[in-house]
Amino acid sequence: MSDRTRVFLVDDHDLFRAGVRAEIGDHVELIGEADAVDAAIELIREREPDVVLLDVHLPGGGGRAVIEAVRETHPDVRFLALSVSDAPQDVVDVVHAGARGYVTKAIRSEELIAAIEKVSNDDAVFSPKLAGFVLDAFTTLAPADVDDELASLTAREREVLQLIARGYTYRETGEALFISVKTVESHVGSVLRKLQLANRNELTRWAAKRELI
Amino acid sequence: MIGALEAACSEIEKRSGVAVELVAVGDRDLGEQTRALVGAARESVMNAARHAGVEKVSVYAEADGDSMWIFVRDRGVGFDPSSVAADRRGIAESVRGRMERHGGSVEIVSSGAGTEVRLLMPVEEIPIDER
Repeated sequence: MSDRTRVFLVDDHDLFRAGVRAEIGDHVELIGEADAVDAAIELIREREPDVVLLDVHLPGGGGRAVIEAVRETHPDVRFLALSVSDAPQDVVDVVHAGARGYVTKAIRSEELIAAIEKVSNDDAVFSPKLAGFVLDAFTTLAPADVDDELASLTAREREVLQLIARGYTYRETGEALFISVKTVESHVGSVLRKLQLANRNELTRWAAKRELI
Repeated sequence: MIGALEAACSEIEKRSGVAVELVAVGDRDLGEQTRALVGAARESVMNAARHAGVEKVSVYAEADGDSMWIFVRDRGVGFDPSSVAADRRGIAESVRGRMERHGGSVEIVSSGAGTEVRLLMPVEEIPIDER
């Protein structure tokens, strides 16, 4: 198949990259790797992958720095963030910077492959943790700095996120709410947009507070 | 509530080798009702870890102004909740009994695609940070 998703991998651990290569190499087209921020930015700009699998904790500025730099010149490149932790600050940081999804490194390979496909189709990938964080953040955030409409979730978006946080797949979420998978995806996409438009300082304050729980 | 739930989940993880993924929204001080809810959730997670035959159990907890919910979900073999009342006192007593004595309710949905235990506890206590 020549239309396989072109994936670029950024992680500073050789063993982890080797593991990802072995696990997903047959399903996507791996077109390059980098182990630090500067090299990643340069190579991604040069090779223009469909999806970048990006470690959140990267020497030289973190995953966030890569997303911000690449999006300035190549807004079509999609990012899927990977991390060992799901600390609220990390999650919010990369998603706010523009990542289309966030998964932990404990993810199974078939789930990772499915997540890469989703992101390459411009859909958002919400793990249960991420869905929980977004619900928590939007419950706590003061809507003062953004339009009310943007700062709050609709009842339906909330229902969708709650089901995802409970471990439902998009398909199961659609079945539970009697809506199509496409509709679930569009709700999740609009939640992601709201998160990216939300006031950054507010999110940081929320994350710091959340860290204490 | 979240602290107690986290402790229970990680204890079960260690003992059973089954991964327990906890997602929490909001929190609440531990009162009698909260303790009962966490206890019932703990039993539910343990049942899932023991009987469902899965590698992972998902737990979602949410607390708002007047209610607390915990959902315990696995993608295991499932069972018929109405047919096990006699031999599985675990569910009857430690989950349902505990919840109902404190004004809560339990709903169990199970099929070949897995099981979800839904625990609801309406409360009057004030949440930790008055959201």
